[in-house]
Amino acid sequence: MAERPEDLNLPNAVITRIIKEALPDGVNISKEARSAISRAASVFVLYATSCANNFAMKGKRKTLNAGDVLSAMEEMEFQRFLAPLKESLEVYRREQKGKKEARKDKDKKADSEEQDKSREEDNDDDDERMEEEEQNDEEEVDN
Amino acid sequence: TGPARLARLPLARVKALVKADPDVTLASQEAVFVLARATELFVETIAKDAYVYAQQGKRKTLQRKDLDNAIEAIDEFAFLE
Repeated sequence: MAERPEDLNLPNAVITRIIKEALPDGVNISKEARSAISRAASVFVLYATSCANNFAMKGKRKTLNAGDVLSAMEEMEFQRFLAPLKESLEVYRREQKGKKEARKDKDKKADSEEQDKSREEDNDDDDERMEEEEQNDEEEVDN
Repeated sequence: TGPARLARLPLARVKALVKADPDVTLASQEAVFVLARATELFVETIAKDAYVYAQQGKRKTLQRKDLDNAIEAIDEFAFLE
């Protein structure tokens, strides 16, 4: 992969929509301003990742987790992001759990009728195996 | 955007940025999600902060210089300089 980090940008349409919703009606954004915000957003991700990774390493972990990102926000002085991020994370976790259970129900139905009917809800912590619509979790970064 | 909103930025693109860091081994899906949400909040914040300068200039169009002014003036944006 010969991409430089600066080349990795976020979709213009989404960035523009977020900007427009943050500003009052009737306010416009010049192309240059939108472009600058988009680049700033990419830099934000890179910087936050680096910061979060320091927390992971401090905790002797090889996997960057949500807590590391939250710690990074605090470190970067974006404490005001913490409350909304935690709420979003809760919603996200509930959704992922719902998806997981939907998959398990599907699997159960596919199983023969002879199965145990009174199976309790699983308590596995296999959230590492959760699949996104787009891609798998925790792909190895081959650097 | 409400606090409980799910990410609008595609997680795959955010993940690509995370992977660009040579020091990062693995990132959990949740981490990528929180990063995506944080980035959205960041975009909102910087847009609003820049807009203050447009207002001072009595303009209804946000311009590049408004961004530059906000970045220079606000400590949290120092990493962008």
